[in-house]
Amino acid sequence: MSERRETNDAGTIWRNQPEEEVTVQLEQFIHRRTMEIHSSTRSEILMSIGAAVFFFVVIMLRTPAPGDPLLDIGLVALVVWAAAVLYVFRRQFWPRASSRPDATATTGLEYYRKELERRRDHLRIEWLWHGPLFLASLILIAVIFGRSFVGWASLRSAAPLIALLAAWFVFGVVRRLRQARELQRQIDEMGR
Amino acid sequence: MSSDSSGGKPNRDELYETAVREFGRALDRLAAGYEADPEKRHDLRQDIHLHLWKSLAVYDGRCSLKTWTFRVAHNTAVSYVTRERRKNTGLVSLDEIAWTAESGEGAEPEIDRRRALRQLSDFIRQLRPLDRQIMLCYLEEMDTAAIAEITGLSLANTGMKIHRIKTILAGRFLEEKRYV
Repeated sequence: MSERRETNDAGTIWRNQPEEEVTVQLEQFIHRRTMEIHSSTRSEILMSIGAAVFFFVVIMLRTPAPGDPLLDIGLVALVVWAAAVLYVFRRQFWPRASSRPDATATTGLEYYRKELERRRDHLRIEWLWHGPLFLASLILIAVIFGRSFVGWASLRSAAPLIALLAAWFVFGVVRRLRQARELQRQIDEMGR
Repeated sequence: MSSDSSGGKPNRDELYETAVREFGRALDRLAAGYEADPEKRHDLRQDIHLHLWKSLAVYDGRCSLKTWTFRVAHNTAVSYVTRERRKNTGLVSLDEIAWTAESGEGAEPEIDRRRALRQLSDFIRQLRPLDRQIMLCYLEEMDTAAIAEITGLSLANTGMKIHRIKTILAGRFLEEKRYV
């Protein structure tokens, strides 16, 4: 009897705790989540490109000898790929400037859904925006270990590292695809 | 954020408004049971409301709106706790926890009540998610069946845990009952 009364007191204290004068504003919350998603997408692309540039610089410093066909072709491919990524994802950097004029007139939830879709699409083509980094890594490995196409023997010594890099790349793509599926699930739920 | 209504069935917005009207305060307290920091608590509260609103699109009435609301709220809060991995370390079960009551002898009843609330909140936030769910539901005066329905535990298991909660709370409140 006494135990029941005492435990009910805990409930009374809990239920009578002071109210916090904070209103729940879903629109505000959705807007913030939208910005977070956009921000992470943008930083991923920039970091990937930045890492590729870093590798580019390392290669240049490590192999000052000009006229290496592997290096020349590889670096041109790298620059073209990075430029293509920046072009394809240009809307990810300046979404407001390039979005439709009526975009801000949509509801917060619709805007959020669009951002989720954009994020999903971004994850589905991870191979594209991660490609320059992957390519730069391959070139670096090939150049350092292979010493510019001298012979396959030295390239063979780099095989474990290349295999590790490839595995990391495949793992990353699979992980991103899984995240994209999760986002698709969220989008489907919102459409119901 | 509108939803189409179909026939006499309440639409998502109507259900959401009903849920907030009836359980809004309890949801606020639930958020308080999971997060001590006011700013983060505000975020958690909004997260709970967003998930609740989204989930009501598929609410089919097979359980009560109350059960549905608390299920969504607890699951959202548990996900939040899981995300905040830092806080996951050191969480304990009902069987392991011990209430360390501060002595408040001679304090004013209001101060005593505030201290008791703070202790109770700290105590709740030490619990592992499932035990925390049960504790919070119990403090909201839900019966064993309702708690079992929300948590998915068996009636017997829920009953055992509630008994443990009562013992812990009684042990603490029998020590200090000046605010009664």
